[in-house]
Amino acid sequence: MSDAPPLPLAAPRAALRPERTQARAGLLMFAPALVLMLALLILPVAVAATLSFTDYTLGRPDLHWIGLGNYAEILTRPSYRKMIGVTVLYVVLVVPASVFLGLGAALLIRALKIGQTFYKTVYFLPVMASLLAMAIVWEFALHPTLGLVNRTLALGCGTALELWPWFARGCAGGFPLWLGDRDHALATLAFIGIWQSFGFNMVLYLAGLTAVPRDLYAAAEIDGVRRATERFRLITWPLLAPTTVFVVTVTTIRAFQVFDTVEALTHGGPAKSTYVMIYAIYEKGIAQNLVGLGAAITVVFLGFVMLISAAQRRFVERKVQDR
Amino acid sequence: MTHRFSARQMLAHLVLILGAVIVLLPFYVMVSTSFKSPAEIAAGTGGLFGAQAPIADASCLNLGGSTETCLTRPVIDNYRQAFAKAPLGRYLLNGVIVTASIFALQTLIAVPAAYALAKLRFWGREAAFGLVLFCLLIPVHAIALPLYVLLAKLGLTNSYAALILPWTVSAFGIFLMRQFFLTVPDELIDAARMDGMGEFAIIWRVLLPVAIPALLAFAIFSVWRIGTTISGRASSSPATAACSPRRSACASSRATSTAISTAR
Repeated sequence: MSDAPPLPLAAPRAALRPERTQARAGLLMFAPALVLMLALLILPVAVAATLSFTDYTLGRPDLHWIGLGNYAEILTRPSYRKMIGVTVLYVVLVVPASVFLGLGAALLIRALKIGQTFYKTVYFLPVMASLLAMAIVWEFALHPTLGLVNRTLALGCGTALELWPWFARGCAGGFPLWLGDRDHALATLAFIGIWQSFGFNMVLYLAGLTAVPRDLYAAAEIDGVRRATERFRLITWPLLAPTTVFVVTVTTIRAFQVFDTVEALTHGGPAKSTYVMIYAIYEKGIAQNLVGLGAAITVVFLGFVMLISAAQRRFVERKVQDR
Repeated sequence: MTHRFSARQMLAHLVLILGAVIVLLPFYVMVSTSFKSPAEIAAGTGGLFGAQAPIADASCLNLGGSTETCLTRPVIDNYRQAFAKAPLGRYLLNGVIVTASIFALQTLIAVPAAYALAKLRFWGREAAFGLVLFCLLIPVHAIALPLYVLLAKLGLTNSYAALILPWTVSAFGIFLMRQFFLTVPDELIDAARMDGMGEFAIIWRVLLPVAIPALLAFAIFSVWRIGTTISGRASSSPATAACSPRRSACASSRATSTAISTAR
């Protein structure tokens, strides 16, 4: 060991300027993550990007460069253009609900005197459960005639609930088919997505709330801030800013990546109403073995999500820093 | 200070219970389906436990038993089939080995990287953070194929390494821990530096104890994500393959599959 060259960090600290020590330590600490990210994530993406200009299919030895052919197909066929709209709609339905339910649950649970653990456990159950298995259960609960949801709704027929026009129509002509109905399928998947994800946001907000110093509330009390909503606006919300940035970003990205429920429940249908981008990647690239086309959709997806996240990050960070 | 049974507390409980009912609904369906007979599932009757009327066990009939000797309760039949059809024990053991290794490696790599991104000034830090965010966007399904080819070229398919290696770096973990480290006051770190601690010592001895809640959130997410993408897929696929979710006729294997999920 003694003849080995001294490690940068082992050098006498006084000899180096503190900024240089920091810079070296920083690079050293980030290096393993950097190498692994490049090898395991960036390299495969680069491979996919290259393949997107070819007509490669698995098992065939040769591949032909077809230039922008795959991209032209994506941009000209209406079903692919619709796919982007469907994906965005799903994200718009899921993200706000999931974030606000997570925050709301965390705030309500933190204020409780008893039963905190019970609610935390219950709300976290969907996060822990295998989404693939739960998707099958949801399909069962949402079955048009036998499912628990529609049978429970039918119990309300003949009561005051019929004053609600939507409900009366359901009683007369049958309640929606949910997953089998092109007008309801995406919203139903979004509901399952919210159901599954808000518990995780709750945990993140609970972790964020523990970092808010209690004496700040006492100080605010002295300064005459009495109302709970004022306390939230002045202290809790600004101090949760890093958590909110994280929660919104991650929820958005995960909503863009919705796949399991689509694959298990609707296969993109009915009438392509739930044909989201990741499902399209899977269907073309893996199920139909059109690797080139799947790779092109991947590139479009990444470019698109990157744009949205960049815009959103700028927006959210400014919003939370303004306060 | 509000009282334990004040109106405000009761209102909070009311809202939370309402939410809990909706959250628990599919779990109720899952558990009750795993108890019932195929006929009850198909007809949507039987409440939570079903009538538990004796039914004939199909595998016992195949072995030449008579209908009388093969009678069994639906709940027993469902769970016996679940354990017979899916080697749950091995799935669980495999899952524990793989998941524990992955989480240990992820923490070892993500925590220093997150600290560097949050608290150290170094050249290219913004670009590095941008890279982490970009990696967060990459969907697993899109890179599965190139990654598989890469692992095959390295001769690593069909090993624990193939299950562990692709997951060692978690952009999610780096991002989560970075956001958490941002909330830690700089004074704490400066004080540790004054005491002569190196940057690595600061991470493990000063920050990690403070970061337990965030680390737990990361652990839960990481374990859950690994569980649902690797072992979850492997263990739920026999049940789902036996009964395509599109076909509603095969209610019996559906009961088995919910029994498997319940057991997990």
